Amino acid sequence: MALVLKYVVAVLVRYWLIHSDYWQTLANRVEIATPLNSWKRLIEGIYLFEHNIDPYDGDSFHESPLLLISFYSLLKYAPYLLPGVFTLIDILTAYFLYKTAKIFVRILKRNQENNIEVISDESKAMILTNLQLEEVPEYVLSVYLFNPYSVLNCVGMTTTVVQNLLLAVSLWGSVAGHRLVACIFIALATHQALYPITLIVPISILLADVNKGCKKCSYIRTLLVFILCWGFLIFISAYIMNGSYSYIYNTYGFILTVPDLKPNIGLFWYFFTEMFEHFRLLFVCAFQINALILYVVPLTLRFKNEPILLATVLIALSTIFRSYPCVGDVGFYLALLPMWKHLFTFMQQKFIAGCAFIITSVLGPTVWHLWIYSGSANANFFFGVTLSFATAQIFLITDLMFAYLKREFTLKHGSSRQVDGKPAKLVLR
Amino acid sequence: MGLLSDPEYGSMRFIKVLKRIHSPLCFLFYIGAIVWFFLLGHREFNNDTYFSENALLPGLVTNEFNGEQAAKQFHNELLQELEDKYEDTDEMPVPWLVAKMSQIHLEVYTHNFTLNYPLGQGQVFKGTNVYGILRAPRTSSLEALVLTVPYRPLSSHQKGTTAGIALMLAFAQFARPKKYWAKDIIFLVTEHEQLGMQAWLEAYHGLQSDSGTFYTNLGSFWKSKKKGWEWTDHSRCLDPGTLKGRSGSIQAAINLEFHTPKIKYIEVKVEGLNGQLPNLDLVNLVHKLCVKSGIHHSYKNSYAWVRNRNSMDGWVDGVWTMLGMMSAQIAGVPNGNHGLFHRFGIEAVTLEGRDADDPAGAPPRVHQLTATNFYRLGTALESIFRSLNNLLERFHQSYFFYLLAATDRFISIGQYMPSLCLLCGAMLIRALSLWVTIQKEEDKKEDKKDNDGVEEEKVNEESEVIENREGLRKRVKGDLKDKKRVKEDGDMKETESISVVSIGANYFLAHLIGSGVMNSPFVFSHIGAKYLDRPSEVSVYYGLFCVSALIVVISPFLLKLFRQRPANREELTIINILLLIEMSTLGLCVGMHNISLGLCVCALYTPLALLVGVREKRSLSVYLKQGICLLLHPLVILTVCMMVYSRILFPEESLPSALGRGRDAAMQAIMFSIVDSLIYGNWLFNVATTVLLPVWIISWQLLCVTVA
Repeated sequence: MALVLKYVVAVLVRYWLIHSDYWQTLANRVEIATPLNSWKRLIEGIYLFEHNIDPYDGDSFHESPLLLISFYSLLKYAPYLLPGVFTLIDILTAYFLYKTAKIFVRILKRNQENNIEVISDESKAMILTNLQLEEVPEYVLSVYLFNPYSVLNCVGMTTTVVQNLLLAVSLWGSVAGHRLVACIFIALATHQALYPITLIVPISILLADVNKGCKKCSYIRTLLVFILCWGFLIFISAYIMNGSYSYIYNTYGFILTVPDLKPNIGLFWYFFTEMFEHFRLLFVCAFQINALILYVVPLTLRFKNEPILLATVLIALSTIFRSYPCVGDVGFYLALLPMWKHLFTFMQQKFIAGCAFIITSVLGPTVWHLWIYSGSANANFFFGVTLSFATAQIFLITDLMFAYLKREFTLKHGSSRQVDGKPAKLVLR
Repeated sequence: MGLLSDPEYGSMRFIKVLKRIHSPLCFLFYIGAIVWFFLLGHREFNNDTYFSENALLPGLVTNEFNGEQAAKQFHNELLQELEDKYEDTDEMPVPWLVAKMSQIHLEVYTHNFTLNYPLGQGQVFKGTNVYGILRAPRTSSLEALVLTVPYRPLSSHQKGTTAGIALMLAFAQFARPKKYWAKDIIFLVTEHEQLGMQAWLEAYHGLQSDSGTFYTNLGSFWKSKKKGWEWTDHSRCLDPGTLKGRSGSIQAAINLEFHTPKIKYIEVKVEGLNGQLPNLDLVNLVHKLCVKSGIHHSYKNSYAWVRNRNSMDGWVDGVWTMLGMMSAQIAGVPNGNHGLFHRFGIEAVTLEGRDADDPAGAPPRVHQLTATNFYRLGTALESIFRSLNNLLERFHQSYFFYLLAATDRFISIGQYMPSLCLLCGAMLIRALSLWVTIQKEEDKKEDKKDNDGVEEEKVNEESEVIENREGLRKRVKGDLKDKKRVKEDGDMKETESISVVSIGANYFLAHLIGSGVMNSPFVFSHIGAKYLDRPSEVSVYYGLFCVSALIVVISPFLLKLFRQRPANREELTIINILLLIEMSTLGLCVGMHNISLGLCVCALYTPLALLVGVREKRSLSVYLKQGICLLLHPLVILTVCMMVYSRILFPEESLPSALGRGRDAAMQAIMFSIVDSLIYGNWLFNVATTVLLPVWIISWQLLCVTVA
């Protein structure tokens, strides 16, 4: 009952905001809509497509052809459904996250039972009870449904709404052990936004864990299925665009080379407006390596036993460092955090991170207004705020990882943190 | 990286220290902020103004202004015209102005606008602006400068502006044949003070009122069948009409308010809508060129001809000038027509001519000053415009956020921000210490082990125990979207005894009340006009008063909604923390827009936010705090300030009549702020009702509730 009520309220809030006078303002906010995902550009692309102009010829449209064609048919035959469709997609995302969290809780319980003998006597009280775990899915659900970031994202009707659904389904597929579902959806997500490609690592670990058997075979099978799916999608997209692969330059190429420096909540635009042109390639590579692959290997080595934590952290890190982030991405990984509710007691900087989230979320639009509309502030003010927003997110994520390590350590060794009678120091390594 | 990799290390000691010293620390921060602010008035702590924009090249041309006779003639003709034909009406002599501008060979246009007064019984005001454009011979009308004068009828209680109009016409006549103009100059006479200016600016920039809905956005894909989506009326109260002639983007504007050529000194007015300021380069330029043309000039309490030998006097004067600037900025109402330009990204100042017997008060040694004449004013104007004519790009160098301590001293944003940050920091420190307490409280109930590492475990254990007890009671009702507040912290869920829903619901309701109050003046004004036959300001004021009284009575009970048991200590502490965070966020954001308002709000409400806490029993101090809280209600603050102000302004009046005058002034002030927010987009009233009032409501709740 309570669940249905939550869904209903969430739908009403979204529906009302889409039909309110603020819609236009919200849909054009830089925090919500980036060149990659904005509704305005989607409409533009569809319009061009309808008039038999290749939307990828110009510089305005950067979505994948698959999305283009599906939204084209929606717009063509049932435009009045669109607000409903976006709301439905968001609700479905929440539903799949809920399901994911439910299965995750089961996995967590099983792992706990398996490891019960290594837990020291002192820490027995820290074992999670059923009651504690049962509420986790509900928290995940309500965080996704009522988080202002995800609400605004849905109301702004960005394609990130779709992206979130794809991610949620692939997460669900992998915890549930449906290899094909997980691979198809992660391939779709990768096809749309490229950055989710990193998630194939935690997903293949998860699938190998869930489906018992030969681990190496499982990894290879997952990878193969993923690559096949992705390749198929690339091919299908080219088929939609009459066999031309030129769309790749305007989708993946656009994501990777960052030609549009419209300000957003990320870190790319400011650096690349300041950059000398002939160093651009070097720095683009550096930034993209940071966003795409830098963290995958070390984190995988450290958290290979907790693939879901790995997935959460990778999603969060790619959100922070990607070239065109928006608040929808932030809302998505925030919804994953309640799964780690049992770590919150070990987190030290949640107050600082929370304050920083609130203050920067309010200050950002303020200085944007001063910069763009009043003409009195300048880009540095806005970048300062987005930089502190990114810092707050990094604090949150590092704190989460560290909390996990602390809990693990405490479980194993008891609460007295001493080595040879001296207080020891834990280091995140 | 130590911060990231080992947050645990040594934190217990830090928490102990924080708990012990947080209240003196907050007090210190508050005092520090105030002291810092007052120090800024001293020469050691502020800077000399300087030109940042090289292109301005101020005062490098030889003055050629020779329109003194013309100006005198225009002035006399205008006065004659007004006395002959416009003695009894408030209308503007449009034909005369159009004729004169046409004779000078400007492109002359008139502009009509309409105001549908938003409150009251739908009065309609009409007005006309006259403007002439001097097309620049050297470029193709891509950029423009504006010289504007508000028209004031003879019957106006304000000083006239006839000399300003005459000077403008003479300057136009002088400038018309010159070959060096690289930017168009628009000569504009506006009617109805700021209303005409706002209408002209909106028409010039082609503002449209329709905000597209989702379906209009679909363009050709959406074949609209029914028009049922428009729930609210989009028509705005000010209809700016259209302009028949335009020029390029406006780079700068000068507004003249001269009632006679023989003024003693010029006051340069800078404060604009919502406290926005023009670029410091323009302000500086005007002051410097006044000096060059031999005109005395002043800013607030700082008079260019008065030199302080004593540095103490200089400090006191600096502080008074800053305070004067802040008092003008707080309300966010422009103190001249220049203020409306800022909103459009145009730098503008007003030059107001003042006599020795000006209502603003007599500055020292003013009688020794020689009066100016049209020649000097004209050369000053010429220098200013020729300097602006040199601009290569928009004003963007120099400062947009500053305070002036004298005509030639300023305080930049980097220098005054620490003051505001200290105030907000005090609140955040208090929030942090409260946060630490609720983390620790659970710990205390357990038997203590003196090992640092045990702490988390204990917390966890304890929360488990509570959970078993209360887990069933706690029901997430799932309504009220305001649960989202919690996610931002992502942390409130850890102790299960805390009902997230009721905290969220309370927060949501407080803000709902706030937005209700924001929209209430229409209702009050309607009721007042229809049933009680009172003017809107009276009905709105007393309406707001009644609502406030109602809130005072009802709000403590809001906490009891959506729950089966009284709020416990942790919940109230979390409400308190959220209150502190919201207050400091508000302070920072308002301070970014309008530092004076931000500082003022923070200086008033920081003590309240710091005093508020969770009480176990009622004692005398709680009643004292409740009294302070009531005094700090936005409406009460306004009324008290107005009463004190009118007492200072008219010290000879008896106390009751001064109080009555203060109350009337408060009514007027509220009315103006509402109307300003509707017509000009002044957000003071909106912020006060939607953020400040909810914050106040929550503080009041916390002061009224006790825990077992």
